[in-house]
Amino acid sequence: MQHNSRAAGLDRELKKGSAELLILSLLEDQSRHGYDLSKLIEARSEGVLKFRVASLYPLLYRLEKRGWIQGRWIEKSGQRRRRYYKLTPAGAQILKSQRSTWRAFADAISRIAGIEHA
Amino acid sequence: MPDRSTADSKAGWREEIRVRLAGLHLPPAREADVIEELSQHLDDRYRELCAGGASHEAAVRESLAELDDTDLVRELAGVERERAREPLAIGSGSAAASPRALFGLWHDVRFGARLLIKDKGVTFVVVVTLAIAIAANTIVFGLSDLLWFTPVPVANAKRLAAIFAADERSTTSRDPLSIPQYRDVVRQSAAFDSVAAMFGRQLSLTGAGEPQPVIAVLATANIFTTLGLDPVLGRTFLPAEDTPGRPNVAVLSHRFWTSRFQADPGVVGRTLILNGTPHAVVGVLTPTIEVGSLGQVDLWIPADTSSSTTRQRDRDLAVYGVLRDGQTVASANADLAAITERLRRDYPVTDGRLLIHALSMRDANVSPDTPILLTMAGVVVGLVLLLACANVGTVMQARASTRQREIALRLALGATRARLVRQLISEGAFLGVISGAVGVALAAAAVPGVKLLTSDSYIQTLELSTDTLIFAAVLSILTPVLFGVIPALQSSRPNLNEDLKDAARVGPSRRLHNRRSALVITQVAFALTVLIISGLVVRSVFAREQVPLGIASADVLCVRVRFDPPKYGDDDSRIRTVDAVLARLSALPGVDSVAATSRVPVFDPEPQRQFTIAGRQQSGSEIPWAVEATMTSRFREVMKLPVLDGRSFTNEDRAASARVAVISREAVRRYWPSQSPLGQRITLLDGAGNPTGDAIAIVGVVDDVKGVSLTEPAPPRIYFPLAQRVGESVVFTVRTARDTTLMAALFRGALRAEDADLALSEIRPLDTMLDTRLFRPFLLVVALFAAFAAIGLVLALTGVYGVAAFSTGQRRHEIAIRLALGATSAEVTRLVVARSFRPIGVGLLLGALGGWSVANIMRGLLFGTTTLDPSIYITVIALLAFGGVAASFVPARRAAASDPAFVLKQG
Repeated sequence: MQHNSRAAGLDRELKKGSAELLILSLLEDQSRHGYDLSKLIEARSEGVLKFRVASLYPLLYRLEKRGWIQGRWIEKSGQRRRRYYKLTPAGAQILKSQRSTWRAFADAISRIAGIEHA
Repeated sequence: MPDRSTADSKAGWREEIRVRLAGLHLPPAREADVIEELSQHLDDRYRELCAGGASHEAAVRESLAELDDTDLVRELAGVERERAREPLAIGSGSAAASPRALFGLWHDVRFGARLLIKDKGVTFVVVVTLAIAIAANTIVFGLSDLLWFTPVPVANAKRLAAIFAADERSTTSRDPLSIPQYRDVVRQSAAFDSVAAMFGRQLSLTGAGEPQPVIAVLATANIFTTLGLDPVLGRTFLPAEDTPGRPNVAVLSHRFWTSRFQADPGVVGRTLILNGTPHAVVGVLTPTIEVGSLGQVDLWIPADTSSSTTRQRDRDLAVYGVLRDGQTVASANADLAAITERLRRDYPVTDGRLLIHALSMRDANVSPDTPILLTMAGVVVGLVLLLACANVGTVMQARASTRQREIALRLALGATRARLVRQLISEGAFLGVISGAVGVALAAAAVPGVKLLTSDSYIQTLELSTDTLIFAAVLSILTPVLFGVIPALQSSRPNLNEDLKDAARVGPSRRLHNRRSALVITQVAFALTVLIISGLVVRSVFAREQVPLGIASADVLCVRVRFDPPKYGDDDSRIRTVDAVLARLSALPGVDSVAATSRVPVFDPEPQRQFTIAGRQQSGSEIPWAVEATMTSRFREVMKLPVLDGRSFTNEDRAASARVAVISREAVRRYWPSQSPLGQRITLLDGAGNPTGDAIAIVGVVDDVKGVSLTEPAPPRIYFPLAQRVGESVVFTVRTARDTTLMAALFRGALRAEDADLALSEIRPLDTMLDTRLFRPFLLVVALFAAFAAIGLVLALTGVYGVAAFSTGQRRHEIAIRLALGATSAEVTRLVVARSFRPIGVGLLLGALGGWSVANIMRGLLFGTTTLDPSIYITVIALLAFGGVAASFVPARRAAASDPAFVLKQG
């Protein structure tokens, strides 16, 4: 239980740090609604990462407030209206910057981890 | 819990989500959005689980588990709290305002424009009020710009100074210099690179069409280089072309070249006969110098200033100097003071009280009164602008008070004060810009009218220059600050409880009442100040018109005739012709009396002559002087100049008879205060102060005639028989009650019948000439100040009416209750009017104080009135008081006539 709770805490911290990058990345190609985003994250992470309502939507609203994404209610024919999010130009800039940061961070971690293991 | 049968019913999920979010107290619209979005997510999750084989209960449980996170409310609270702090744009339906400031500003302007278009009546009143005030300010600025700031149209304007003579008793006067004085300045001054002089003369032009008099300027050869003037054709004077023996040349003015010679490029080389002497035309001058009196000049001729060796009192020369590098007008004046000191010492008789001083071209081009007049005009239009802003502020506040509740609510919901102020200022700026555009258009339309009111050729060049337009633009942007920012700051002050209560209250609060009273006080005070200043200025001008001149100028025609050599080479030939002309004129039908004189009284320059009185020792400042003129025997009949003692001239006072003179009452008062002057003998002094000519007996005393300066006492005058002192220029005067045009034609015919080559000036009525010289210049002043006063009065009364109407509207319930309780309409009307009059009364008191303070500053301008002229003060105070009562009477009567039951039912 202790191990599980420690792992869950690490998982929470990692998720927090990477969540913005994930959302922005997924919106890079096309607009998506919240549920779509949560399923994509789960699918592409092969179940490692799961975003529930309680964590996903506050994140979306925060990103929207910062102007990195923009939400709009859209009603497609034959469907109920849904709130779709798209990446803004400011968000694209942030995505680029965060990707670069994460890449450098990941490289640094691998080098350190690699040296220890070696 | 969502029901299996209505698993996709949003109601179930929504209720669950609503319960969890209740503690966030989100705005309703935002809450609805969040709930819908989250419920859709849960619904999708539920469907996915069901599709994967989960039971209904398990799917519901699993879906709801998505909400089970204590982070949800905390995270949402953090985000929504930050979102709520985002200022709400007034009237904006969406809380998602653009973060970019420019977009927000544009949004505010658009919103303000929509509101103003919606409220067309108010917008129209505001725009018209401000536009009139801005137009008035623009006109005054345009005049100031022209008269003060626009460079004089000569190349050396910045280094050029005009040099004047003055008497030590009147240090600000600007008299011409004499030739010897000019030469002294040239020789002795170290402050100037070059000094040039010129004087005007009327000459006879023959040999080019009908003989006509021309206005010539005789000038030193360096005049054009000194003034920095270039020719547009040919050349100007060569150096030393003004010395004796050089060929006679002439430079035409551009105006004369265009009007008389049809801008013929072949005019250079033509010969003009001026006073019988041929002059070769060598060039045409640039038209830029043709402003002011120089706009009347026909041609320029070199003047010989070297031949005069004796000091003369005749001062004729307008003198200009180009300051040396490093010199200023002040340092030049110090230099001239030293020269003056030497001249006073060396020539005590002629120059004993002399002052020579320099003025910049800017100062020289305007009369001494102009700066004060323009300053007063600036004060008046500034007050008119403030009045307009106060007026508009009343209107805007009335509008704002209907939005008080809205503003207070928005502040309570988190709108920032800065955003609110920005919104209100944007509305004001929008109004200001539109008003400015309309104001400039009004000013442009008024410019031709201004030009019509004056014959000053300088003001004929008035236009809305770039500087003037910039001024108007700045004014129209600043005026929103005056009427937009202050009420905006007050409206945005977070006394939210009061505002919310105020809006719900029936009747005005004390706070609003005080604010409106302050506006009324301000408007009335400003308007009264404007009325007092304008009244005093207009009164001064009219007082000038009432000054008795001493002559009867109506029904008198005048014409100036030149008797120039060689045809009229001596006094005899001139006198013979004068007598013959007088005989012809007397024979014309409809003529009452005819006479000739050397100068048109009051109109022409008035040379002074010193003399000694037999049996008295006088020297220095005690030497008597008088303005001299000549006249024929019936001059006093033509001018209706009463003889007070002795006799006037007769036909027996000829060249060969004893020398006689007639003096004025002022001369008697000064020089023979305790004895009769009749029979006393005087001897004239020449320019060097030496007695000249035979002794002259005083034979009569006539009444005083005013000088050009109507505000000064009449000068002492001495008249001589024309036959004993005839000059080259004679003015014929005819008194006739017949039609002026007809008589002018007969007049001209009689003169031409005597000599077809006589050079005649235009025949004009004397009262027209005097009006143009003495009163016409002030017509513009009267018109401007009267217009400002009228605008100020209308604005103030409109403002009072507006406040009274609004206040009465606010008090309609109170009035209805009074009426219901038995008050009569008259009692209610009296009550309302009395309440409205309190701030009016305070405003009148403050305005009277303000008007008196400003009047003290312009004391020097006043004539025939005082700073506390009771007739002005009583009139304008009564005007405003009655106007204010009338303005508040109308809404009072309307309120008193209302149906109390109807008003009370309305709530």
